[in-house]
Amino acid sequence: MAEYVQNTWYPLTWSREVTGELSRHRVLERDVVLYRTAGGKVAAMEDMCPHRLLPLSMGRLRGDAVECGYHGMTFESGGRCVRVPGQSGPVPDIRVTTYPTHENMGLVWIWMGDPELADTGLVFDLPEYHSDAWNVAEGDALRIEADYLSLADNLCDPAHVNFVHLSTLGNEAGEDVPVSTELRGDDLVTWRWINDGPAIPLFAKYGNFAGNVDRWHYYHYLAPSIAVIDFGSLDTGRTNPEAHRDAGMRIFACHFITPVDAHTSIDHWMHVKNFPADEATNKALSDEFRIAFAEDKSVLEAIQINELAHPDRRKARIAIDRAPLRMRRMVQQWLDNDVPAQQAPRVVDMVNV
Amino acid sequence: MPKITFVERNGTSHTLDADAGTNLMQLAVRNGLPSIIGECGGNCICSTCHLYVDETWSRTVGPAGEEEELTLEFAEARTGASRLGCQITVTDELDGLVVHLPESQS
Repeated sequence: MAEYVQNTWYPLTWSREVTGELSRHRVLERDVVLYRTAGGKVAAMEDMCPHRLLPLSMGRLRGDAVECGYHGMTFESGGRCVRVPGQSGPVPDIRVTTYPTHENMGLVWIWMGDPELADTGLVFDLPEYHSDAWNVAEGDALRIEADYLSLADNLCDPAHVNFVHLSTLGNEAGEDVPVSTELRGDDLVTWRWINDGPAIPLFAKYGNFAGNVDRWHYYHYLAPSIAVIDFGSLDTGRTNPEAHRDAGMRIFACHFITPVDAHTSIDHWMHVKNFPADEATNKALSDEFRIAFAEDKSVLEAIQINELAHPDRRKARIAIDRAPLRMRRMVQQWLDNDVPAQQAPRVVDMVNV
Repeated sequence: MPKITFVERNGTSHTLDADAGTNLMQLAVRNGLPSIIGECGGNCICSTCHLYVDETWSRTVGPAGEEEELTLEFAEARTGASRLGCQITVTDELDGLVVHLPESQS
């Protein structure tokens, strides 16, 4: 089994997917069955009956309790056995492991570590998600056959955009603009500005830019599997454009990753943006991002095939690798000292404001 | 112009004239010395310009910085004399400096 940070909240699935039916999920190499109770809470338990180890997701819901599909052993949402068909006397003290959950930003978050430490105040939040000045376009749950840290490398890396996403998010302007990186609290921020260049295809299509734009990317890596990319463009020519990002088209691209196992990740992506759009435009935007993220998926899956075939191959490290290497050091520190963070992960936007 | 001497593992030594302000990685790569690669272009990321400062010079050259310490974790056969060539800038004070090249950077 690969090593994972345990004492942190992981995104697991869209809230909209969790209903009064049993659904099976996998995170950190563990199978989890989810359902929504009559009271609206998300129940999560190990997807395995303690009797013959049949996945409980193959059973059925009886009210708020799960009945195993093999011999009818039944467990209430707290994991306690409440019925063993075919035997009389007191119900034995048999339990299924349960996991704390919390819902925020349209997602179910799960805590796979010590349940005593599961503080819902530590769940990630992006305040703009809840603000009237911003709106949200929910995307997909993109399954990628790649280690989640390989995806996290990509999400600490503005430099790939010019080469991978030429039809959507990038263009050739700024290929040689260096990338900056710094740690702001627990937020590893990697950014660059490409000033006075043409708008990228996406913004050329949906923005009303008169001419050249100043374009920014701030990649915020916030927790083992949370990355938020603040990117956008505004008409070129402003002094201190960083302070005027809201005057342009600005998008927080959120990537909430479920590490399924050492070779598989699910990227739940959504966009929180400062320009309103009707449903058709939102759909068209999401279609553009779907193309871009499929490009990342194809790169990362091809890399994983080579990594598995050449496990001892040393990789060259170039200038743009500073942030991915720091990211991996951060994860190693979290692994070495697996205690909950002091505060919820948050985007640290500007240091001097 | 300061002179810097790089000594290979087999004892071959190269004494090069260096411009003040250049760094030891750049100097070695420009002169085609073996086993200094400089993958990251001198950004203290890759550790492929790992070398050893001769002990008679360690005090003058000084210790690795914080970021360099982290990057040196990637270096093979690291010792107390290990430094990254890209993090040592040539000054007049370093005239006569002797450094030793590693076997390889793999």
